[in-house]
Amino acid sequence: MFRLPDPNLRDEELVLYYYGEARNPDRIRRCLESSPSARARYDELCRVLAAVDELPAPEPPEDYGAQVWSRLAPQLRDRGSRRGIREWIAESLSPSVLFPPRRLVAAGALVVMLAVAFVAGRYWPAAQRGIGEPLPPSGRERIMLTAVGRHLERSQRLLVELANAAGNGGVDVADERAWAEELLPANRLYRRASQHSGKAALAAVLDELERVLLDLARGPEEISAAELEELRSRIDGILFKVQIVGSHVRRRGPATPQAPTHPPVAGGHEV
Amino acid sequence: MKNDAGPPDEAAVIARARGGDDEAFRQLVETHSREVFRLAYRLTGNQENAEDVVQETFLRAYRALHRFDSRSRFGTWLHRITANCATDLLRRSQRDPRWDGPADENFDAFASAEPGPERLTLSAEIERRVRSGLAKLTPTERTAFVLRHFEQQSIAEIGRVLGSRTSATKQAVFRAVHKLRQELAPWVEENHVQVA
Repeated sequence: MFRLPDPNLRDEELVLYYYGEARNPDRIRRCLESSPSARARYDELCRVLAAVDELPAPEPPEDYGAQVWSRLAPQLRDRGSRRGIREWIAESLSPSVLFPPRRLVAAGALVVMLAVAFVAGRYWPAAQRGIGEPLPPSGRERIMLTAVGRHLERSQRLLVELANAAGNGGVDVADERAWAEELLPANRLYRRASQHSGKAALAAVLDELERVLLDLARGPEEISAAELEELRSRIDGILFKVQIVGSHVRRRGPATPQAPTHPPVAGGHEV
Repeated sequence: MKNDAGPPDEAAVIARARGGDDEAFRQLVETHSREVFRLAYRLTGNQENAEDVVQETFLRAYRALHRFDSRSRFGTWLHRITANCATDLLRRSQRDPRWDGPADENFDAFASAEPGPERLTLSAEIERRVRSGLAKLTPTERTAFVLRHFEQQSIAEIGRVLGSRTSATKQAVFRAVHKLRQELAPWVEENHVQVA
């Protein structure tokens, strides 16, 4: 494949020799000793592969395993392999059971969003500060909460859209999938920030939301009606939490509006 | 794979996990997560994708635990799943490769103590070029190369991971090395790079 000037030694043989898998290493060693051109080629290969070793290898924190487990454990329960009484109770009390019609859930989401918009519109101006005025001690946190509030609002729109998707035969979720992909990096960022700042409840909701976004973003562009139904059952639970936490966060957060309330449009969706 | 032999009682933990003991599975996750992450990062070249791969790896392992052959090493089995998850992810995101972007800021790029400015500049350039070279590999080439180069797996083992014949696996490694040489060799020679 890469036959080079030295007719007795191919590059493939040098690669296998480098990795200790040559069929006849003694022959190659002798050839390298006797042929300066072969030696030069092999030295160049060694330098290139040694350069590859310089690629930084990140070192996860000591408690990384515990972090992975904390994200994984609820998913294992969601997948329903082993269901206990706690899961049964949680499921029985989930909004999908308490408020079965999906339209009602969507309508509830709309009411919450309108109420939040009304409250925010009423109190927002009073909280504005002059340009250049230093942030109060809680300023950074409030800016973060404002951003998280907007993120939850956008996520809520996606969830409502999915909850109301038509489900006959194959369902095209390409747009929702792209939308989830866009939301995912921000969700990770906010989840980590919430974890680091000790906001356990917010972090838990963001974590749950992340799993839905991740499955959607990594899934196919078309799903079956049964898959959509499964997705909906997960969404109904998370949607309710996102509404509650989102409205709570947005009430606490918008003290220092710095950006237009209408986010930029990307990929056909407001993000 | 390096040091994948688990603790002496790992076989018992695996047996408990297979019997439905989630606490035992948690032990396995906590024991192997960091190794799985390192491999996932090498394969995907980006922290976020690596974290997705770690998550997916353990989910698949959980579902397939009953198929695990207890004569094998659990770490090796997990690494196979990791490689498959990463390859799937790479294929899906081929239209939007992510490792061509900026390097992660969360980790120290190089472990050498107190590197001087020249060393840092050189290292950053090497990293950029290696990333660029790796980005030109197909998912199969990248997986084969990472498993051979960083994980010291034999070509036969890699073939089993990829589900391909040994000859095809060899060719994937050769093509990967060839592409990396094309990307790096002129620069390495020109700059007389002597890497550790």
